[in-house]
Amino acid sequence: MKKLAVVLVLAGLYVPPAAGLETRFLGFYRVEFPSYRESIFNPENEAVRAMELTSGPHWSFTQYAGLMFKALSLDWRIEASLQAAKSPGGRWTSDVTFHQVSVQKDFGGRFSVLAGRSIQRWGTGYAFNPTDFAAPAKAIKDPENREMREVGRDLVKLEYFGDSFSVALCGLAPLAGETGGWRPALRAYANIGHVDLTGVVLARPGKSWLWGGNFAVAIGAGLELHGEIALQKGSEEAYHPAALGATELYAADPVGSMKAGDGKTYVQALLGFHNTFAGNVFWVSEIYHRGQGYSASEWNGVLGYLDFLSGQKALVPDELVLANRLWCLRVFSANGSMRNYWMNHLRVPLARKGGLSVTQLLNLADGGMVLIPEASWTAGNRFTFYGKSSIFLGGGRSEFGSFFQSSAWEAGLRVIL
Amino acid sequence: MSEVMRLPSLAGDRPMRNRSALLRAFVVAAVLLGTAALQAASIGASSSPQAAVGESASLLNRIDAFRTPYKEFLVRVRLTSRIGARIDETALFDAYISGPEKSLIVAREHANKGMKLLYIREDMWIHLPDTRRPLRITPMQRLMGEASNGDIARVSLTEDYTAVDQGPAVEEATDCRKILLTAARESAPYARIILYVRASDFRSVKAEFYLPSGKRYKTARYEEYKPLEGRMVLTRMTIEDDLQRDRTTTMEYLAFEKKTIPARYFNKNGLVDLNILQP
Repeated sequence: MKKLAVVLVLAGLYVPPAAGLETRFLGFYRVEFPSYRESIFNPENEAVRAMELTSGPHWSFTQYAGLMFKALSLDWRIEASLQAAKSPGGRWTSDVTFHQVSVQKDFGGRFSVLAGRSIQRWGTGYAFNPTDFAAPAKAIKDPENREMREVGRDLVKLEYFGDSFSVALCGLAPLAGETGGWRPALRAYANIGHVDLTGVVLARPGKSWLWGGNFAVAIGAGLELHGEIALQKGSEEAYHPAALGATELYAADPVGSMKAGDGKTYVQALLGFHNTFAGNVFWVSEIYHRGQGYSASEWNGVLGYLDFLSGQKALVPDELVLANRLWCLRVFSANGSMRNYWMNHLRVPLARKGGLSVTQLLNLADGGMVLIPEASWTAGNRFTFYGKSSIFLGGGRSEFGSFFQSSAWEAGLRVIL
Repeated sequence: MSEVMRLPSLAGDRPMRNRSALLRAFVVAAVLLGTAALQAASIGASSSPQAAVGESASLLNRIDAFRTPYKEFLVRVRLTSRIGARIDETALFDAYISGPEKSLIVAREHANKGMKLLYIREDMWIHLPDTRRPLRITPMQRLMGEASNGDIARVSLTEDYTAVDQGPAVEEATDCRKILLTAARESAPYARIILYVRASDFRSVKAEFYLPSGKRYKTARYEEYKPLEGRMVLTRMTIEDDLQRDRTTTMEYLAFEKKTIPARYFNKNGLVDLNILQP
C-alpha cells in the first residue's frame, strides 16, 4: 500500500490542481516521561529491563500535512506526517506515515466512489466503536484523534446517498498479517424518527462474518444517546493459554487465537451518552462490553501462571522464566484487556483560552482504572500548550494495577502552521 | 450576482480562538441560514386552505422573502462578535442551503477550517476533521453557555412558529407592523418572538426573543439590505445579548450564489469524505 500511496501522491502532485487547493499543516511537539513499577508482571523490574524501557524523556516531533484538491475531475485527499522521535540513550529515528491518500468521484450528486487509504468511522461511540469494522481502534489517550495519529484502511467504497439514508459497499484490503483477499463490507444508514440507525456487516475470508448496528439520537437541550453492538462467531483475539488453565513452561510464544473455532457468539456492545452543560462543559459516559476480553477467572488464570513462573526460577534457567513472563505481557491491550468497562470523559473550558479534561476508564471487574487528566492553554490562534498524563491505578492483581507502567507524563505543543 | 455581492478581502480579519468559539459561531450561522432556508422555501409557496394557517404562512412568506434570494444556494457569511467596541472573534463560513430544511455550513478559516455543521429539519450533526465522524448534537445545544447568540437566528419561522399581526408600531424610527410569533411545536427554541417589520413592505427591522420564562433574551436588528437580481435581500444583522448587553454578534451575508447542491451534502455520512473546496 505504501507504494500505492506514493504513486497516488506523486500523481496528485504532478497534476496541477484544477480547482482550488486546501491545505492543513499541523505540528505536534511533545516530550513524555513514562514511569515504571514492580508488579506481578514485572518483579524486580526485570520485564522493563528486558524490554529496555527507560523512564527518561521521550521526544517526538511530528509535522502533519493535509492536502485537498480537485484534479482530473477527481477529488484528492492526501494526509501524511513526518515524525522524528528519540528515546533516552537512543538515536533519533524518523518515519513517514500516509494517514489518508484517496481519490473520489461523484456521480450525479448521489453516487460516490472512493479509492485509496481512508479513515471510515462508522460507530457512534466516543472512546470505543465495536462497529468500526473499517477503521483503526481509537486510543483512549486521544479518542478524538487530535494528534492525527490514526492511519486509514486501504479500501474501495461505493456509496449511494438518499434523502435520509445511505448505503455504502466497501472492499477492504487485508491488513498486514491477514490472509485472504479483499473483504466486502456493507453499511446501511437511515435516519428514522430523528434517530440515526446504522447496520454493518463485514465478510471475512475463512472467518466468521461480523455483524453490527448502532444508533444515535439527540434529546432535549444538550443530551445525546448512542449505542453500538457487534457480533461474531469465535474470537480471533490472542490469548495466553493460562487463561484456560494451562500451567507449563513454553519454549515458544504460546499466545494465540485459541477461541477462533469455539463456535460461541462474542458480543461487543457499548451504550453511552454525552451532554453539554452550561458553559460548554462536556461530559461523555459509556459502558463498554467486550466479550472477547479476559473474564475475571481467565485473568486470574494468567496471574496464577505468573505465580507459577515465580516458583520456577530456582528450577529452570532465568531466561526461560523471563521469556514466559514477557509473553504474559501480551495480555495487555491499549484499550483494556478484560470485558466490562465504564468510561467517563469530562471537559471544562477555562476562560475561553484554556481547558481542563479528565478521562477515566474503570475496569468493572476489579475496580482498577486509568486516569488521563489534561490541561491546555491556547496562545494566540496557533499555539496550544498542554500537559497530560496517564495514571494506572488499582490493586496489585487488577488489570491496571498490575500493569508495569505506573504513569506517563507528557508535555507538548500543538501548532497550526 | 449583483454588484453588491462581492467576496471581500479577508486580510486583517481576526481569527477565531478555539473550537467552542467556532461551534458558537457555527451555530449562529446555521441558525441564521436555517432561517434563510426556510424563508427561501417559503418564496412562491401558495397559501394554505385554512384561513388562520394561511394568514400566518402568508405573513411569514412576506417577511422571509427579504432574506433569501433562491431556493437552493451558497452564501458566504462573516460573523463578528464584539464585547463592547472590541472585536472578540470572527469567523467565516460557506453555507449550502437547500430548501426549507437542509443546510450545510463549512468553516473556512483558522484552526477549525474544514469543520462542518449539518442541519436537516430538527436534526443536527457536527463533523470535526480530526475525529472523522459526524457527532450528533441537539439543535437546542446552542443555547448552552455563550453559544446562545446563534439561537436567535436559527429560529425557523415558518416551521416553528405561527404569526399574528398585532397592528402598527414604531421601532427604529420606522413605521412598523408588530408581529407576534408563537411556538408551533415543542422544538421551537423560543416560546415567543416579537418581530417588527416595516409596514410598507414587511421587511424585518427588529426582533425580540423571549425565553420560556418570559424573559427577553436577545434582540436582533436587521440593519442592511442590498439589491440582488431585482429584489432586496438582507445583508447585515446584529444580535444583542440582552443578558450581557455589551456582547453583540454581527452577521454579514457577503456573497450569494445560486447553486444546485448534491444530495450527498445533506447526508451525515456524506460529510466524512466530502471535499468542499473554497469556491
